[in-house]
Amino acid sequence: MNKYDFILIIILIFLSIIILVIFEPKNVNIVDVYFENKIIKTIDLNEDNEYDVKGLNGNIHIVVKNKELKVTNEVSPFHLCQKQTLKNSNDTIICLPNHIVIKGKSEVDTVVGD
Amino acid sequence: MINIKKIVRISALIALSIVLSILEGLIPVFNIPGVKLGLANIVILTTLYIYGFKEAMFVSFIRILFVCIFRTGLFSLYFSLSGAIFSLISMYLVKKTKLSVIGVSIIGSIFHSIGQILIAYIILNTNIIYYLPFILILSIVTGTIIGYISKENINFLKNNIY
Repeated sequence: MNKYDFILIIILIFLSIIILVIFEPKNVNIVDVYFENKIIKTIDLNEDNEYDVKGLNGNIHIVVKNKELKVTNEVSPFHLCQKQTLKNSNDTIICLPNHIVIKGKSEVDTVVGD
Repeated sequence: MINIKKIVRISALIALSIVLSILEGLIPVFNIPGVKLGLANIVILTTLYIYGFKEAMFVSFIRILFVCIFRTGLFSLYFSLSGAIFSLISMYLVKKTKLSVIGVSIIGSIFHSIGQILIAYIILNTNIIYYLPFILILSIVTGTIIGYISKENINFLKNNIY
């Protein structure tokens, strides 16, 4: 293990950080609302609108304003998902007690190989 | 002139690489696609340093053919071949630089992953390039481990048998 190996390793770590910054998955501005892993609503973040979806415990009110999505009314003990803001299709909001997940469409598939 | 000694030794190397390849499938690793320990690369590296590029290519191809036909299935043939070709050519090219065996191993590990990403993009048209940063970091780790084992192995063989 000589110093050239170390130089190589440092170069590679820099490269991977650069690639992480350049190749962030594209933002499509369309998110899906999942109830128990099934899509029940598709929301376009470009239009300001309000939606009602039915979760496990009751009604959930979703507000889209200025390309941001927020949950404003839900039946849950800590109201954690009212504290989260979804800004683009890379973010996710999870309302565990109601079995609701709001996330964007993903481009990445999985590959099987050796 | 047929060199029986060489034929026997290369056969033993091929058999060893097949066994290592099957064995590492039993060890649980992170479930990022394309990440594996690459234990068989110990044999490939050793062959590259003791014999040369042609012999290492031969061992690599026979190993992939065998494992894909009898174990993983023929659909992974393209991925494994692509990874192996990229890996071997890159290792042969950097072998002459001042990098040690460990550095060569890291380069081989990275180009193996790059080869697989490339062919995954061509055949399946999937954007698996998003995994590249994580694959790079893990390649450094596995490359170092495999490289270290290979270095000790090569030193031992060169001092005692070859």
